[in-house]
Amino acid sequence: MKNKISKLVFLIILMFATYHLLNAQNDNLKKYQKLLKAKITEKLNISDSLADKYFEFFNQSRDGIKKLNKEKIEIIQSIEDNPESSDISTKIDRLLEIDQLIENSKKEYFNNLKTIFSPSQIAKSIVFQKNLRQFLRKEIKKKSNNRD
Amino acid sequence: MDKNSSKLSYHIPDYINGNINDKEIISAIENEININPEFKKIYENFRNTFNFIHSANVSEPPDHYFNTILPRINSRIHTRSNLGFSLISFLRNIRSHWKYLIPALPVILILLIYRISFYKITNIADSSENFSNKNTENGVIMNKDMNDNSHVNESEDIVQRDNDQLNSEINTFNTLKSKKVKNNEQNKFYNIEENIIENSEETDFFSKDEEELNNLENEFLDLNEESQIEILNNLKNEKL
Repeated sequence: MKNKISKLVFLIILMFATYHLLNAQNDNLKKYQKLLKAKITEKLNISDSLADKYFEFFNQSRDGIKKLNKEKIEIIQSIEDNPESSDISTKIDRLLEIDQLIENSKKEYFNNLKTIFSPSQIAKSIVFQKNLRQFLRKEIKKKSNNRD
Repeated sequence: MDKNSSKLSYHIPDYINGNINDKEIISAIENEININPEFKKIYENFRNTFNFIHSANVSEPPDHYFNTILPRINSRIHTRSNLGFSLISFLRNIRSHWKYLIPALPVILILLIYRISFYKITNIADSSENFSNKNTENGVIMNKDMNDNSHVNESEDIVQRDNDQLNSEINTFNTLKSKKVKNNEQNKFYNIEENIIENSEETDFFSKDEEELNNLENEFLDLNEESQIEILNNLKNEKL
């Protein structure tokens, strides 16, 4: 009986450790998102609700472009694998079409931003995204170098 | 000690206890004792030991010893089973835990993989939904400069110019790559390549690959917790 209890305790500890590991990661993601929101709010001098709207537009655009890019990669792969295929022309046309759709998605994103931001705020948001990418690139590179 | 003495020394215990009937061996041992001091020393050691064993008086246990023996055995068994809870005993019996751990591990691993991938794919992307759900009451807020399209066009022009610059640099890079550079010029080539990549990072006012931020965020989540916290602290102090 006591032996069974000790085994149960062991399993509970194991599951608790796993849960803690997952939660730590989720916490950091939440902190990251919170931090981004605070930064954009400060940089653009906007309200919380506007910051929320901004991220909504940004993520919406990114998801759309992500799907299009995925399709583009698949088409490029199929062209590389079989350049002699009968529908190669259609595939090339679709590639060009996807590029156009990506451009449209960017335009739509900026049109959406125009409904909530002033032009200078839009410009600042672009600079913000650029700097954020650069910062993450630099930090991740640094961490990877440390790991190597 | 010679071979003969060594052989005879095996008979010393029997000699002392009077278990030898062979008179030749007895006289050989007695003779050896008289002439060989080393042998004599061994003999005396044996004799003293046997004398001590015979003279030692082992006291018998008291009567109550047998009366309480059963409760004491039970008490010891109980103490041992209590030890089963201790860490040492737990570690000693770890093998028996594997039969519980092995079925639990795949479940935990699947949960782990599912949670991580689910979080990466949906949570970052879906944060927009969270933002919008929370703030639907605010609706779309029109900004005071909304109608001032000239400024917007201006910023778009800047972006377009940067994109053009990026494209021209990529073209330069491709041209350089297509030229077969000789071995002695390779280092120079790689320096140019590095510069172009760095410049392209500097000029990506719009990310060339719109998913880049998503990928960077995923890479961030792949780092260990310590690194993540360090990056978050740096981000806090960074002026973006």
